[in-house]
Order: sequence, then structure tokens, then C-alpha cells
Amino acid sequence: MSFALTLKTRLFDRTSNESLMLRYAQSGDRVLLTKLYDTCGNDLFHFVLTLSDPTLAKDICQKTWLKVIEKKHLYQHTGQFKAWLFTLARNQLIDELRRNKHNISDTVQLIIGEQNTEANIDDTAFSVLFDHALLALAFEQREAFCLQQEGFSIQSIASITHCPAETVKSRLRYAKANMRKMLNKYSGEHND
Amino acid sequence: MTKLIQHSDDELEKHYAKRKLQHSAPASIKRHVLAKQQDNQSTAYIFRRISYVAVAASTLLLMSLLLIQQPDQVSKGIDYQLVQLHTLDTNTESCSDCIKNRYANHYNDYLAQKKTYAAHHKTKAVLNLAIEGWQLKGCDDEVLQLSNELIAALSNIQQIDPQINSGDAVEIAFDQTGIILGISRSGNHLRC
Repeated sequence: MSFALTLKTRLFDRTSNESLMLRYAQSGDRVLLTKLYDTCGNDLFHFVLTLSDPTLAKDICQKTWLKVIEKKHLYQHTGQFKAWLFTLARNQLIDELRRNKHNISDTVQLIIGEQNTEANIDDTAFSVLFDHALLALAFEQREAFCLQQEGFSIQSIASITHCPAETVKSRLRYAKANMRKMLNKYSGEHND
Repeated sequence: MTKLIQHSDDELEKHYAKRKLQHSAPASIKRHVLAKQQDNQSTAYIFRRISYVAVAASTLLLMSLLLIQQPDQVSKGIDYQLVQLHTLDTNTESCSDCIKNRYANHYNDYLAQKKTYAAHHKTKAVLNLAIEGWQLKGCDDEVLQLSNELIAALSNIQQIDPQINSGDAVEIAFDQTGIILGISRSGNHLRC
């Protein structure tokens, strides 16, 4: 029983993102990076896309993965790989938004504007309504909500976003409340 | 759409996951990242090879330098002992001459010892006290004068009988070279 458990743990450890990243940091093996990308690539892109636009999201994701290649020796085993990856991406995104003199709230407005045109195509589509509700959230609330949906704990979100855990909790609460409110509103409008 | 009004956390998660499926990362990101990784890997490989060659070359250079310097160090390490010659051996005798001379010397010594023994083999004498000191008179009217120092020395090592009186017959012990080693009273009278 214990042997099976040990074997299972070993096998699990070998395929975990942290183990893959550690091995990649040591060997620089392309296969390991491919595995990591396959595991986290879509999650990262969706997170960045939700906080920006497709072009910027693509650019940020590329830069983030290149940073993983260049700074692989800086990865610490104590941390969760996905949290490290998302922290890198978020920092890049914030830098990029500041460099382009985008106010974070302006970005939200920009995205909402873009999505509104798409929403007109099929107003009844459920996914579009959800998109509306999500993208209408304030940047910090959207960020906290996305990170929670990606499976991060409150502490991890606090660490990624560099703010206290209480603030994260508050943002999450407001994010969910606002989403419900907006979904209600949109659904009410569509019903009319 | 009215069911959206009661959006639970689970429903929000479900909608989020659905949205994520609709926005997967473009394949170009992966291609770009892996191409960059390939470049890095080949560059790292070249650098690694160069470093190996550099290490091997420097090791060889170090060893050759050590080998070049080693003979000098050995010659510096030897301490020569300075011997000053004051005289030169001018003896031109051959080895056989040396042996002959040595035999001749030994033979002379032997003859001298024999002569001494012949002179003093008469170990019996009469002890007389004269004005000059103690004397030993042998059968051939030869008088042997004993010095006070000899008497004192023999007394110290208890090799002279303290009960001897003047006119007593004594036995004299000589060594090979004729030196008196002891004087003891003889039970018999001297008969020449």
C-alpha cells in the first residue's frame, strides 16, 4: 500500500508543473518546456486576454514565455510554477499598460467598447452576456476573479497582485456581486 | 435567461470555463517560444562546448607550465654540502703495499709484546722497601722500582694485598703490554 502510494507520489511529482520546471531549469530541455506550455499556455493567454486585448495578450504571453526561458534559473522550487508564470505575465502587462500610458480603467472601457460591437451580433448568446459582465468589471476585480477561477488561493492571488489578502477578498466579493448585478441587468434588458 | 439571476459560484465557474475554451492561445505563440528555445539551446550547447575546450586547454597549459618549471625547482631544492680540502693525499702507495705495511706493523707489535712478556713473564718476585720506595726483586737480580702512584692506584682498585710486608714473596700480574695489574702475596718462597 505504502509502496503504491510512494510510486504514485513519485509519478505525480515527476509530471507536476513544478517538477517539470525544475528539470527544465537544470537541463533546458525543449520537451519539458513544451509540456509546460501545453499545461499552462491557454490558461495564461485567457488570463491576459481578459485583462487586455488579443494583440497585447499575444505579445505579453510571448514575452512571458521568453522570460521563462531566460530566467529559468530564478525559479524557486518552493513556489507554484503557475503562480510564478502568472506573476511574470501580470508584471509585464502592467508595465506595458503604463508604458503605453493606458490607464487601467481606460483599458476596461476600451475592451467593453470592442466587445459591445461583437455583442450586437447575437445578443441572446449566453456567453456574450457573461463576457459583458466579466469585462465590465474593474481591472482589479476582474484580475482577482480570473485568478480565483484559475484555481489560485487567496494568498496566491495576494502574492501575484502584490496586495493584502483582505483586499483580495474584498475585490472578489465585489466582482461576484457586480457580475450578478450586471447579468441580471442584461438578462432583464434582453427579456424586455 | 431568468435563471441567470441566481448565479451561484459554481455557475460562474462553469461560465468562466466555457469562455476559456472559446479563447485558446494562438499557435504562433507556441511556435515562436519553441523556436526561441531551440536557438537558446543551440547557443548554450556551443558555449558549453567552448567552455569544455577552454577548460581542457587551460589544464594542458597549466600542466605544461608545471612540467617546465619542475626541473628548476628540483635543482633549487638540493642542498649541497660544502667540503673544504686542506690537504691532498700524496700517498702513491698501492693497495698491496698498504697491506704489506700493515702486516709489518702488526708483526712488530707482536714482537714487542712477546719481548715484554719475555721480560716480565717471571711473575714471582720479592717485595722490598728501600729508601726510594717499594721495589720488586726477581731471580735475575733485576730490580723493578714501583712508583707511589702505581701503589696508590693498585690500592684504589684493591689489586694489592695490604698484608704484604717487606721481604715477602709476591706474584705479579701483568697485562699483555707489561703493565702491572696486581700484586698479591705468594704462599711459596721465591726459588730461583
